[in-house]
Amino acid sequence: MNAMEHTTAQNCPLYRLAHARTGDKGDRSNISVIAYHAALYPLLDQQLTEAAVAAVFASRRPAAVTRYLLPKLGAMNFVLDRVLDGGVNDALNLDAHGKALAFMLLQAPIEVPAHLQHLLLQDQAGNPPAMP
Amino acid sequence: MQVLQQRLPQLKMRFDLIGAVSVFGDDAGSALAQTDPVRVAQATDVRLRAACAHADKSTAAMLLREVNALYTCGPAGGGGVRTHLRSRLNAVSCVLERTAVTTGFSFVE
Repeated sequence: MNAMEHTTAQNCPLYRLAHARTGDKGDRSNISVIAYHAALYPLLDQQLTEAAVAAVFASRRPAAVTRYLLPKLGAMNFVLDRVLDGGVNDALNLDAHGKALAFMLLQAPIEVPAHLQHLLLQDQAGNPPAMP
Repeated sequence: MQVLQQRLPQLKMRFDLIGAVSVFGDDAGSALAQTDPVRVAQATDVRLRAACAHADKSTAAMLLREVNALYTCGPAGGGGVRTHLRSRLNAVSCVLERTAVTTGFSFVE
């Protein structure tokens, strides 16, 4: 484990705190985010706001971003309107369903205070893992 | 990308720089335009993909014809050209009055 991690708050990519999965329906993307640990969930609640997610996907100009909280599951669900270039039949993206959007979101920075950093995902050598 | 845009202004094209910006990008190219050009320039394993859709098949086929010569000519860095033209069927979501839809089920033995 990196000794630096225990002294001060640090910005970490979301993928060290949570996993995520995308679904789609029409031109609407649906991204679930599930915390790896219950103690990390409040950080997501505070920092992974609708505005923060809208900023991640700014280049797609979402018509709306709505967050639904599922605190008992340590999870949240985002619904993003009009971000799929018309949807699976209309988009020219190789990833027409937008399945990769969860991985785009997992790069978002989250500030993690020192006392929670031992809960962050790390590889066997104690280093931050590569993007899953 | 610039050559295709200049020569085929009638087509709305999507570009992917696979290896730099691709599935995270959008059809309009906003994500690509906002990506740090230094980061794009530092990518060493990149393949260009161009895509378009058009109601008229022969108009869509213009993009394929435009890149066809890359089989034997032009820059070799892309590793040759592969083209594919296929028909598309689109669907759009809409909302109906509940009374306009009859629902029900039956068991089949």
